[in-house]
Amino acid sequence: MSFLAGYGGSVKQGANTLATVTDWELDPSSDMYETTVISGSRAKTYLPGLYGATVALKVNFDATDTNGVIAMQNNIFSATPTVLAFTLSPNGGTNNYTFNAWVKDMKIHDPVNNIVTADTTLQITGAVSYS
Amino acid sequence: MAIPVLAIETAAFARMRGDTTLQGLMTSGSAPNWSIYGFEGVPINQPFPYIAAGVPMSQAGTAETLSTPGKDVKLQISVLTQTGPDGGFAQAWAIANRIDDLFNRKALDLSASGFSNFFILFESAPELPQADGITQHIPITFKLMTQG
Repeated sequence: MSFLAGYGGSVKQGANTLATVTDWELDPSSDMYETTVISGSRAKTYLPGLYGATVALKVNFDATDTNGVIAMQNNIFSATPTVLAFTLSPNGGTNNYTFNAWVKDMKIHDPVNNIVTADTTLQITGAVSYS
Repeated sequence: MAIPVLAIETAAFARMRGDTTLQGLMTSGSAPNWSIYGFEGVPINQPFPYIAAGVPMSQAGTAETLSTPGKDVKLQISVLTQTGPDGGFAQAWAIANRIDDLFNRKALDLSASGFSNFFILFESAPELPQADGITQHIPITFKLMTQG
């Protein structure tokens, strides 16, 4: 057994490690098609279908972080956005989730008595690979 | 990785001791210390008014990220005065107000020590008459967020 400490995680956009991420959450899920038929049983049955995922990133906003939060912001504001490649690791690159994603939404939050943050949702497009 | 206490105290002393307005209020002092002390300690029989500054609390930081450690720190700057025609809490508050001008929302440059400070905010300044009946104390506390 080898549990993982959260501070060992990392997020890359392309080749660049994002320096201001405080939390990430990947939520892959699969559609489930019900295949229950009339029978003597009370149990439902299912068949897995399409899968997809989003990623929730908690980020400290840094206006000089052009490879990180600014690149993600531009993915929303650009007239011709291009899909971004991401790598998430729970253990500093030993194991990785890699995928392409669009930036679905950002919540840039500026409280007067705390740090400015930019909570971001990535919509994964295509497959997620794990190695 | 380290704890930025000494870096913060060093930067805070430099800011206070280098301010000509605060120098003018520290009537017991002269260059280079201007009756402003910290990790080196307050001298025995130090005349009033004087300032004693320190960092009583450093803890896990709001600015901690996956790639960079962060520490939240309390910087406490104590103003001490004694009763007299030019002293008392009137003198203490004049000094405290200048300290607030010097620090509130004005981040410290800690880059020489490998840290960054982007957040410093006034937190409290209680008025504390001392038990001897002739000494006044205002500890001013600021909250800092650092990385490095």
